[in-house]
Amino acid sequence: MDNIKLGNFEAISLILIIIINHIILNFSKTIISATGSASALNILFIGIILLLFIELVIFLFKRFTRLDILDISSYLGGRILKTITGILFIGYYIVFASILLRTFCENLKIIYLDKLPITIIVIIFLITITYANKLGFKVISKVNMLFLPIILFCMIFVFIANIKNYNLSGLFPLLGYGPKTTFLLGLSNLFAFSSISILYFLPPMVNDNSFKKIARVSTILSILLFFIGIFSFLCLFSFLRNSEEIMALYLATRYIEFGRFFQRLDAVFLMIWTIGVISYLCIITALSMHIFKKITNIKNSSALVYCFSGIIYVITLIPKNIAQANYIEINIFKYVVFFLLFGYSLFVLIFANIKKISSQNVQISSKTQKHRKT
Amino acid sequence: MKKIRKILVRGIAGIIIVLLIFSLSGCYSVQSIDDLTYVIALGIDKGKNNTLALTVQFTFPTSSESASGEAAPTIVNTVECASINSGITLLNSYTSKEINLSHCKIIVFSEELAVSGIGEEIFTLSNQVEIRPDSNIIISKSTAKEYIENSKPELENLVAKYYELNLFSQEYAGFTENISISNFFNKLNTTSIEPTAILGNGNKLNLPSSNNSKDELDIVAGELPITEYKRESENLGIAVFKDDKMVGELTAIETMLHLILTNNFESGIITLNHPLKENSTIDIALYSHKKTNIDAKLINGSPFATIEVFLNSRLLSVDKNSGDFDSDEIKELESLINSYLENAILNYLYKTSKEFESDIDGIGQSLLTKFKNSKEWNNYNWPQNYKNTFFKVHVNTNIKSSFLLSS
Amino acid sequence: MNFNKFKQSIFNLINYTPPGEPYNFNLSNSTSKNIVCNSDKKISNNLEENKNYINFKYNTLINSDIVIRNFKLVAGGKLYSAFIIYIDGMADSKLINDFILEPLMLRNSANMHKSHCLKTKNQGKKVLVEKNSNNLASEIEQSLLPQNSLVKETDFSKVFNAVNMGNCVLFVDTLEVAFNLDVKGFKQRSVSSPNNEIVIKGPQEAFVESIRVNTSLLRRATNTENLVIENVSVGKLSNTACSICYLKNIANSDLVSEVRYRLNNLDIDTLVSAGQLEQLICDNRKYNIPQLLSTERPDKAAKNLFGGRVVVLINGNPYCLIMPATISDFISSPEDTNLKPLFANFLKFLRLFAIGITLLLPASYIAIVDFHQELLPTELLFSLLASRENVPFPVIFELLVMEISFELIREAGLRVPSPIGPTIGIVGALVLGQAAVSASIVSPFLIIIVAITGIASFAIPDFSFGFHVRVSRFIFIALAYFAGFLGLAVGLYIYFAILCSIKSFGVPFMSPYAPLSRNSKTNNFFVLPTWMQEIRHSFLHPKKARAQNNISMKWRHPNG
Repeated sequence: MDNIKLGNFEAISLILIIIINHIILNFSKTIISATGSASALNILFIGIILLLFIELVIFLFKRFTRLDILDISSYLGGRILKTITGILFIGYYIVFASILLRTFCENLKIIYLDKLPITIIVIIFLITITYANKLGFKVISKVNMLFLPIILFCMIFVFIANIKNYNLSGLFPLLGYGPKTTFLLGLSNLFAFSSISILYFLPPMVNDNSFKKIARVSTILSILLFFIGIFSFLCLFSFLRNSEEIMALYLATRYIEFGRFFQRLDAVFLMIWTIGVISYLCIITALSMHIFKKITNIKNSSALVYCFSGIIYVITLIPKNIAQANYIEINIFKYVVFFLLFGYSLFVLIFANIKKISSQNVQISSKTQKHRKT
Repeated sequence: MKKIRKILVRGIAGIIIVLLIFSLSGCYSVQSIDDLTYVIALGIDKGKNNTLALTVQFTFPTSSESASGEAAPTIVNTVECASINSGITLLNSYTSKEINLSHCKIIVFSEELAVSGIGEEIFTLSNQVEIRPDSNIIISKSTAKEYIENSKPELENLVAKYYELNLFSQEYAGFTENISISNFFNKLNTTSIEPTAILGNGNKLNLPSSNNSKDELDIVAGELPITEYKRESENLGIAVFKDDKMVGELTAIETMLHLILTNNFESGIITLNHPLKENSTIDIALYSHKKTNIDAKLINGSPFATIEVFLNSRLLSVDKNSGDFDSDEIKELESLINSYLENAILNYLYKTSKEFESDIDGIGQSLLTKFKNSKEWNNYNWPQNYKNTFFKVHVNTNIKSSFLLSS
Repeated sequence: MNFNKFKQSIFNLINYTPPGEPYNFNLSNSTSKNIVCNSDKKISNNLEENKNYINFKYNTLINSDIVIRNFKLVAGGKLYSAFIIYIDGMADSKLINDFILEPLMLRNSANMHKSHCLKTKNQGKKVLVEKNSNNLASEIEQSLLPQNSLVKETDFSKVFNAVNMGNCVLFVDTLEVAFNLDVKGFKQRSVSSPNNEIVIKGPQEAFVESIRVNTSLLRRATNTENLVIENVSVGKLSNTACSICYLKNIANSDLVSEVRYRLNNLDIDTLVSAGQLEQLICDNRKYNIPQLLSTERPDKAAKNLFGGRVVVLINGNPYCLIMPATISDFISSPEDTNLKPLFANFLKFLRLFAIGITLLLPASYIAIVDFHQELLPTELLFSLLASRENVPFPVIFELLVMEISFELIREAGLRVPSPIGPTIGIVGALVLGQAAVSASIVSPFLIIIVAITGIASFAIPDFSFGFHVRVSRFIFIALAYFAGFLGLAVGLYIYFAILCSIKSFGVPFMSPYAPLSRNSKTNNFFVLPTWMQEIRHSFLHPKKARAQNNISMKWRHPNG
């Protein structure tokens, strides 16, 4: 797995599928409940900040070609820091993938499979993930790239088909709960873009010069997608702020109708979303395995997938009900993302850069000293 | 040999696992089409002994070819219950098949219930995954049960098709609106617009016979002057809600004005006195031209709404002289239509603000853009302030085309 | 003892054995470069030089059907070494024996004193034959070769053309010309029109059982000296002759050596059919997805040869194997190149649609009827309900019964003697279906579903791929019955994951979609207009990437 090579499209679609899943799995609702009618404005504002952040990350990665965050942390703090970084990321990925899986399964249960126990629904997903992961990361990213256009198309289709139901008054009042909430407290909405965490692991997998391009393009597309999503939800639903339960995107699909014949297409869309969620979970599991393999130097990691899906299974069933899962998703997720992506990783990168610069200076000075001596 | 045994053992294990999964779970989730019965109309009345009386309508289509010409028979069941869900559970224990709401076309509330508030029921129904968001919501002046029982399609075989087509085709006349439950729910949840529902009536005979002094279009459901009829249910006009309580009803002509103001208007006909000839009328077909422009603002704390309406129109009545209109006379006619409509719209708007105190036209959505944040908006309390609104209406009508024949 | 065995087998179930290194072959850029040499070389007067050049051009050491016959001829009293070259299977060997070799080798010795004899018999006439090397050519032409069509060639390119056409070429020492002799003799009687891959516009000939005839068909279809036909015999007992055919200036040499490697390392007793060989040499043996193309059409094989693929012919089989194959090869038909791009693309979409229907229609019927009834429009639902009114079976049972009886009819129709073949279709499909409906065993709706699925499955051009899709649909039916659209989603994901994971001779099966090929012109899905087919598929890494220049229609842009 060390010599995974991803094409540009594959890398971009890795990031986009996560963003799409965040939209499917109701992150947009969390954002709307935080910033109200100003959410679209808030996303634009956050997008600009995110772009600046990505530029910073690109700049910080510049000195370390072909190294990911694990290699960089091992450069900075040796094996211990590498292990810590790895475990933090694995924990973050696995826990939140599980919680999202739980949310999705609960939604599925509400919508269709009300007689199927949740344990079995989760097992169906996990068997798929295990099977797909046995085939390797490369295969998963390829399948993801094949399905992404379909999922993306369906999503855009949902938004476009609903245009006649749009009511622009959902965007007003323009500043929502006031400028402070929108711009200062609304910063916490950055968590929605947690998909960029994949960027930290991409450099060894892609061509040296395409990393920049991938980072920028995927960020811009993510922001665009999220903006379209939030915008549509605001225009479509007046009640999203105070209702809790079901996926907003699913509700939007229920509104689609073409004449008297094509109504209630939601089951088809749900199938597409399901493929999206499977794809997302496969990527997360594969990535976690990749990290685990890197920090432990295991030779053959294919059997690891059983352990990982077992762990996901257990964590998925921990929350007692959907409300608890939602609570974890909304309240804990935000801060963990902030700490891990925008705090910890940034610090590692900055200090590694400082170390590199100072060591280079030392080298240069020692060289010059040698030069002088000779 | 070892390889074969390994494959064998694995294969058997796999088959056992698959069988277990199938036998333990597969059968639970299957909801076969044979085991379900589909509700096409749901009626909700006030119960005599309990809170609600739930009426459901099923149909059972037959494949026998002889019956294809006739309408499929329907069954109407009523149950007294405390809530919709408990009612359905009660009915489930009565019917031989499980009740499924996923093909429910209309949801009928009786006026009696609507006046006392239907918010709870709407929330329950919106939370049901099975209910289609595009099911129509109808407020019946008679009981809901009567409405459903008397909905006997004349041109269709299936009642479900009748329910769908009935409201689709009404858009053309402009006397009622195709309002879905999702629409109602959406408006129920905002403060800037109030919900409306289709006004229906299932019992023509019950109403007092209309007095002749009324205008032709000044009628509501049940008053359609159709003399030969087989089915008593009809939809005409709109039920006006304030929050979740019904506060009034709009007549056919008012519905048309409501549609014009909310940009859902397609076409309609008005009758005016002929400007040139005494004692004769002229029919004018109206078509939407541009979106209606509503501009609301606060002046000295009280809301002021300027409304601009753009319409196209066409003369329908034709007589020997109708080709003789010259451009001045057409201008005169246009201004006549304009002033007529302006008057009517003003009357209608003041009726909604003073009588109903319910902003069903979305004046509040225009006002909303003038507020900076939701706190201010919430403090302003628009639903209470709507009654203080002043209106100014400006109608622009163009007479576009004329006749096949002209002298 | 038994208990121990049991224990062992249980232990084996949960025991982790690290998997061995999987066989992994990736096709990348060709390691050996193509040696470019100009083909307009002139024939030299040194016989050895000529022979070496021909050996080099035709790769005669590995090329199995190129025959070079060395001999000595005597002309004008002198002994010259000479050789003839021809392609076995394309030239008539009786003609060569009787009218080229015999006059040159046998009668020639009797004519040694030809001039003397002439003198004695026809007195007064002068001897025309002059013993001059300049006239050796004309002597051979005029008196030694009893052939009606003889052309003297000085360029090697023309020589190669002639040989490829099935002619025989004679080289004689000291001569700067070669004799191009028309001895074409194809076994055209035995070549028939294809039975299973029928096209409307296009060549109507098919491979036959004899490998030599098949190679000659390929030779004729490609008509280039760069076609190499290597002989490999497979099977310790049967020694079945197989031929690896490729164009040496286009096909990736790694691909060729991989094919050679796999064919040479088959430890089997007998090889009877192409299907056997396909199983033996394909990369992945877990899934039943066909990973090699097989065709009975020489034109399709030739097209693929020109694209840079390798064709394997098996003696005794009218089918050849084409490798590597990707997904889009299985939905393209030989008809595509003969049609305008718009029609060809329309047909391609139709076929893709057919695959989708075959795979998913029965499954989605189950999913909709058992899980997602709200998806149906109300009127359709009620007519469906009406049609199922008296059917006693659950939908899944009904569907399986009908699908299996459809497969039965198909299989039985194959075995039935051809005169009563149509009868089984009528009895099986029409009578049985009608009776089943009127007896209320199945609903007419379901008959429609099964019939559409059956028709769609025959619209898939490749037989083995069609078979794969037909069998896979049962898995999808099971999944749909298990969890509705959720099951379908899981099935689709895994199906695509499997498709993405397999490789055919080092080429990912889903090329050029995943991994995405960057060059849109090599996109395999849409049939491009002929003038735009400029680049060969990059996933094949051919030695020659360009198939034609940017401007193929030079007459339209004489200056561009």
